[in-house]
Parts: sequence; C-alpha cells; structure tokens
Amino acid sequence: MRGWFFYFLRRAIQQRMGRFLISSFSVLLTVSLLTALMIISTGLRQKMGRQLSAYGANMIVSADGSGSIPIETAQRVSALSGVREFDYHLYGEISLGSEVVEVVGLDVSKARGLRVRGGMPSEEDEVIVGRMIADLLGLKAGDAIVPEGGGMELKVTGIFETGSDEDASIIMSLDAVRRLTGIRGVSAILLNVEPSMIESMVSRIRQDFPYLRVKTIRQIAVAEERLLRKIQLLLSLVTIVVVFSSAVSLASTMGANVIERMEEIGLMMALGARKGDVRRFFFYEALFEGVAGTVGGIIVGVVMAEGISISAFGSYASVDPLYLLLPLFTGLLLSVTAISIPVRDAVRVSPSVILRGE
Amino acid sequence: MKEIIRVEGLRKEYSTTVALRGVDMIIREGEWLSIMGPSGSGKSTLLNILGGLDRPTEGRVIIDGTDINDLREDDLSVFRRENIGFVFQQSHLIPYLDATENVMLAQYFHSIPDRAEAEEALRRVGLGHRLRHRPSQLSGGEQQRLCIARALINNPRILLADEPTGNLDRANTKMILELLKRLHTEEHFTVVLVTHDPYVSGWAERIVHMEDGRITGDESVTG
Repeated sequence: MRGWFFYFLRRAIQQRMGRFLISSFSVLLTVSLLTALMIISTGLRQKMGRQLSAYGANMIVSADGSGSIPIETAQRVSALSGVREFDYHLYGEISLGSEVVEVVGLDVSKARGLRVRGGMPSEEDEVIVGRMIADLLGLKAGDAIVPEGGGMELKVTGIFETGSDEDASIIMSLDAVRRLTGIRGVSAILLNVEPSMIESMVSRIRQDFPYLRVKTIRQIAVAEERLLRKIQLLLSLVTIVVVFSSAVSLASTMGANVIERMEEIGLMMALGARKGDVRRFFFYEALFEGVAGTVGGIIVGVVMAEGISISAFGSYASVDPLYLLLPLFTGLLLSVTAISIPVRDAVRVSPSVILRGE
Repeated sequence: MKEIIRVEGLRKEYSTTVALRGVDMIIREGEWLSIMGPSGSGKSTLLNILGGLDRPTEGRVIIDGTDINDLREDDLSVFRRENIGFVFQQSHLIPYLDATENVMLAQYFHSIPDRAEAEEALRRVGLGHRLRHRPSQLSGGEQQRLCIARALINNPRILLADEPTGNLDRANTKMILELLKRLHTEEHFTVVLVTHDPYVSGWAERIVHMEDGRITGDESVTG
C-alpha cells in the first residue's frame, strides 16, 4: 500500500510540477535568506571585531610604578585568550642638542592614526618625527639626527601628525629605543580585546599580574560592544521579518493550492478516504516541497552569505553545520505547517458541499 | 427482495432552509430506483445522506442493519468505500491521473490497486481504447463511463447516481443508461438515481417523486 501511496504522490507531483516548483521556491526563498542571515550574523562578531580592532587598542597594561614590564610578562599577557591584537610600547627620552625629546618605540608596521608626510621607517635606525618637534628643530624627511650619548645616527623618513600630544615625540622601532635608552622590557602593552571579554580580562590580569596596572579605553570598548549589539539586533529583526513574511507568503501559496484542489479532496473522501488519508497525502507532498526548497535554500543561502562576506569583510564566512539546523528545521516546519492548516480545514467540510462546488 | 436501505423520519435543515421534511422509505436489494423531482425538491440532499456524504438533522438511515448516522467520521468513510459507489453530474475526476489511474485511486482507498482489473473495468464500459487518456482528453460521455467504472470497481452493493446524465446529450444519455442497465443486470447492485428527466427515470423499476422536501409519490414501473 505504501508503494501505491508514493505512486499517486509521484503522479500528483509530476503532473503538477509547476505548482510544486512554486511552493518549493517559496520555501527556498525563506530558507536561503534565513541561512545567509544566520551565517552572517554568527560570524559578524568575529568579523566586525576584526574590523573594529583597526580603530586601536581598547585596553592598556602598564607597570604599576615607573618601571618597565619584563618582556616575558608582556608575552604572557598578550597571549591571554580574548586578545585580538596587541602592541608593545617603550617610552623614553633622548636629548637632541638642548632639547629633551620623548621617544616612542613600537612595531611601526602596527602604528595607526598617523598622517605621515614622507615614508614609514623600515630599518632600525629610521624614525618618523612628530610635527611639533619637526617645527621646533627644523627637521624634514631625509634629514639625520644624532641623539646625545646614543652612539647612533637616526634617519628621518617622514613627519607625522596626529593632532594630539604625540606630535611632540619621535617614533622608532622598539630596539632603537632600547639601544638609545638602555631600558629593557616594555613600558606598556596595548591590547585589543574581544569587547564582550573586557571585564573578565581586567579581572584576570589584576589577579594573575597584581604588579601591573590595567586601564580600559572605555569609549572604544563600549562603542565597539554597542555597535556589535545593534548590528546583531538589526540582523535578528530582519531575520524575524523575513521569516514571518515568507511564512505568510508560503501559507497563502499552499492555501491557494488546497483551495484549487478542493474537488480532489471531496472526491477522495467520497471514494472512502479518511480525513487522515487526505491529510497524509498533502502532508507528504508539502514535505517533499519542503525538502527540495530547504536543500536548495541552504545551498543558495551559503553562496549568498559567502558573497556578502567577501564583499563586506574581504574574507569567506565560516559555515558551522550546526547553524544550518535552524534553517533546515524552519524550512520543513514552515512547509508542513503551511499545508496542514488549510488541509485540516478542508477535510472538515462535508464532501457533499465540496462536490457541489460551494 | 431483501431490504437494503431503510430511511426513517429524515429531516435536513440548513441555516435558512429546510431541504428534507421527514422522509421515510425502504429500498430493496438489487432494485433500480429513480428519485424524481424539480430543482430544490431535496432529492440530491437525500442521496448525499444515503451515501454518508452528509448528515441529517433528524432521522435515521439504516443500510443493511447499520445506522450510518451512528458511525464516526472515519468509520463512515470505511463503510462508504466498502458498500457504496458514486456517480455525480460533474465527473469529478482527478485531472492529473489517466483513466486507469482514476479507477485505481478508488481501488487504493478501498484495498489494493490492480492495474489489470482497472483496465478490465474500463473495457467493460467501452473505454478500452482510452486507458492512458487523461480526463481532459475524454468526451463528456466517456468521462461519465469512466466514473461508472470507478464507482463499480470495488463491487459496491449500492450505486448512488446524482443526475449522471445531466450534462449529456440524448445519445450519450441513452448510451450511459444502457451501460448502467447492463451492469445492473449482470451484477445485481442496487441503483438509486436522482434525476429530473422523465426519460432517465423511465429506465428505473421504481420511481419516487419528491417535492419541497417530501415524498409525494412512489410508483413501480412495469416492463
């Protein structure tokens, strides 16, 4: 009997392929949008965080006092879980003629927020000079400076400007500052921490490294978290609206499908089909439409998500199969629910009424 | 002849109208009965209730000892497929199934589809050359013959026909009635046929006249 059930089901699907494809396409639309939004939404925190970390550190760790942090300690701190990016800074002073100038040693390739006229340093003896110092000492790109007592000549590759006090300093590599000042270790560790982990990170550093001082750059940290939350909320709302409107559209497609086939339902019942027999027939048809639409929707959704991810973030989105369970479940549930309600109502109508065409 | 259908005090009310106002009748096994009456006389309502497609407001329909109004919906469906075949004025065929499959669908809801048996039933009604044709490819007369094959495929004890020739010309009407007569003679099922056409009712052994929800006459037709 089961074989004949699927025989008649197959005939119904084959001969009504247009309707089958329309219903499947409605499911496909819903599932593809849901899949794409799920993948983008779940990867958003990581990707946006990566983008936001470009705005700089959101936490500064320094020695509690005037000393420096041993490099081993700095490495342990920067290796903590939740740290997205880090940079070591070493501050010191050098004398240039009669002027005492602040120098900042850092990984020049990670320096941000600087407007540099000229080039960035690439060698240990190359520096960029802040606008105020350059004006004071009459320096320009290509000049050389010789700090007193350092025993090395520094080449100016560019003049930088930040609009802050940093314009009264000279930036060079960490090793150059160490050689000029004789300070080992680092003065500060600049961390960019996962926004949701900032509080726990502060506690952990205070507990594990009581001799270090931790300061969060609240404005950046809070803004990051707030922005991420808002974007995730927006995506969740869009997802809900998409699923709701697709469900309504699917229900009306399926409902129209049932109305169109009322005569068939009345006839089946006149031939002796029980209500359950009729419901089962339509349920399986909807299930097949749901499976086709859901499988297609997940494939299209993944492709859409990857396209969006590439164009917005420049990298592929990671697809966790676990995240596909929701679209899968939603697609199948929507299909069978959308058909179940109109069919349930249809089989309640007396076959005599249906066959009279009322 | 043994009694197969007993109708007692049958009344059917819709929201604003009364379709049946207390109908009593007995139909004997193997009888060909025509129910005649003008439009709105309640004859189709009576037929639908006899077939368990509709429920009465009052009264009883006892078919071979079973009061079908006492049956639950699903049991009524089972009773219907075991005992009753329908032919309607509109053919009500499944458009995406061919002629053989339309007959097999009735077999499916009854027991197990048997293509050879379905094809044989179609040959008996003169549709041996239309086995793979879809309903839309058949003429009105052929569609009704297909409906007769479908109605009789499970060997029902009762055939209920509601204006089965209502959409056909005289030639096709005669062809359908001759077919029904032959099958009735061969298989001895009971026929209850609703019509407003005296030509059609003239083929019956007994004619019940209805008007305004009541039986107004009951006559036997002699040879």
